[in-house]
Amino acid sequence: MRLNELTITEASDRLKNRDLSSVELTTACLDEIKKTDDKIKSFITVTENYALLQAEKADRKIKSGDEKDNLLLGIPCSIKDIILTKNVLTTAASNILKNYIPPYDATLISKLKNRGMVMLGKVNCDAFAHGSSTENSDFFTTHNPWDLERVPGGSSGGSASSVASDQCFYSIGTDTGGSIRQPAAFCGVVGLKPTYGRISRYGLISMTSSTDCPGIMAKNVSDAALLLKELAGKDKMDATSSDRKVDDYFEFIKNENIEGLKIGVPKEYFIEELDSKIKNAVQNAIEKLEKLGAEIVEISLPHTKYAVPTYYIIMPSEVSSNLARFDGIKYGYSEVKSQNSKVKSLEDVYLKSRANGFGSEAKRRIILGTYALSSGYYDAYYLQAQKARALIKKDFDNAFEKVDVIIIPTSPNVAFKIGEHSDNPLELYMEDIFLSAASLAGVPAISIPCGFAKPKNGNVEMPVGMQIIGKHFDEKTILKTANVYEKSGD
Amino acid sequence: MGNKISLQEVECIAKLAKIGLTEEEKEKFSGELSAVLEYIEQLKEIDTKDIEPVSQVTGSVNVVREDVANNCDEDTRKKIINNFPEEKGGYVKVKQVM
Repeated sequence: MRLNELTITEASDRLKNRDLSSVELTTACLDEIKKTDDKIKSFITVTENYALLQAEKADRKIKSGDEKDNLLLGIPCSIKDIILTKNVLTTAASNILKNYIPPYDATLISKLKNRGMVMLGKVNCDAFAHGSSTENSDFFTTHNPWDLERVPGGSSGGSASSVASDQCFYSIGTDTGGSIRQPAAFCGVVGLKPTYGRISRYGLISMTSSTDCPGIMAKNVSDAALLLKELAGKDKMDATSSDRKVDDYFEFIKNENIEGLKIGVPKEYFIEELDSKIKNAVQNAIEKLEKLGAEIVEISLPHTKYAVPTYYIIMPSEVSSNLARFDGIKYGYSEVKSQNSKVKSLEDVYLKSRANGFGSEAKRRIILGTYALSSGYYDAYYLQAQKARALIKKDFDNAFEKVDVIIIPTSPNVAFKIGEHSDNPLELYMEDIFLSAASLAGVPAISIPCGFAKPKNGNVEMPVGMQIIGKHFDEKTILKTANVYEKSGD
Repeated sequence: MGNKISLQEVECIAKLAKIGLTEEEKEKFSGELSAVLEYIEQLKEIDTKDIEPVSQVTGSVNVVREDVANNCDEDTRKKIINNFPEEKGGYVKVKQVM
């Protein structure tokens, strides 16, 4: 096995035994990136020198025998380019931030730095995380490592492709309406969206502040559990971060007994649009968990069909407000600096900087959101959507009175072909049908691989993902269930 | 059938959102956003009488802090200023407003 194919815990064990060094791990990843990334295109920026410096520093710490319990020390990772990294280019995969160097770190980056992270670079996504394929990146489209003609999913597509192709050991992404779970499913890795507020949002380039969640992409469930423990917790820089107790997820999931665990299976999700091969894969997984001691309960989440339309009001509304800060005045692309600039007035600076800095999807969402929030339409759209959201949340509250976790597919289809949906935004929005509800309700959800299926228009078997959704702040139970399934083997 | 969001409406919204749009973009968005809005219309069929709209979902209430300014270090200050498209004496420079 090549070094870059190890999991975090395997690599960490060998680092601690002085069997290998962080520099060797880092070099193995950098070599893999050099070898494969001209085809996969995960990375916007590779921070090679910085990574090697961090690795040397980690090796000195390991040698000194300090931090014996720190499993992240010296482990190389990639970071979605929507998360601020001090002194390292952070673009949100957008032209308007093409040259943006943040003056500070996101809280989650500071935490990882304190744990001896080795950052290999910043990975691609849909611009401002607007999309489910990376095709909306203002720079380039990332390719699925399983079939290069297909998308890796999105928006955290570069995170998923970099983990799936062993270019790194783990990646940090963000999930606003499915942006970790769907690419994790498409690329066959583990993707964890924690409860809203579980990990600080400070230093994320905001999209939909009421659903934005930083989260984890990893090679297995235990690595995801380890990372969540490091990243979770209250942050005074994010008023919406939670002070609820952070569990020792990594230790907790070592108990593999799921006797009596109640798994809810909502009938609304096993619908016609669902590819039958995916349906079978997820149903087989549920049966396996039943054999291992879980009890399966049919449940109903009656407002499921309203989740996507609700999301497509709330999301663009918050997007239109959050993207107002990109105005050509404080940072980012500005028309005043362009060579043939003829801007005369302040108004022109705004209009032209935003016209030339934003891509199509950002503009589409800003326009839709501004419309939904404008006087005369506010009650009909935004207010009605916030009420629908209350009902969607209530569905989950009711269900979780009867069950411990809910299992559904992550996506109704496997990874689609590059270009397959790009002319029809509405078709692409339908990718979110299994994803939006958990985001709107703020509940935690993990996508894990549960087999393969051949797409109708292709010959390569592609990974299938299933989602395990839990109660607010009960990440430990979804991680435990996921771990038991993963350990049961295929 | 006309679009749900007319060309004029797109223009008016773009003005509110301070985004310059080309004629092609206006045309395109009028069609695409009308389709999206039609899809979203189904929300109107939900009975939301007596339902309180949510503003947050995880149970936190009134998280406040002291309203005090924190000075940042000189290095950070310089980096923030370096990001200004136009700068004069450490301030953001903008076009004349009045």
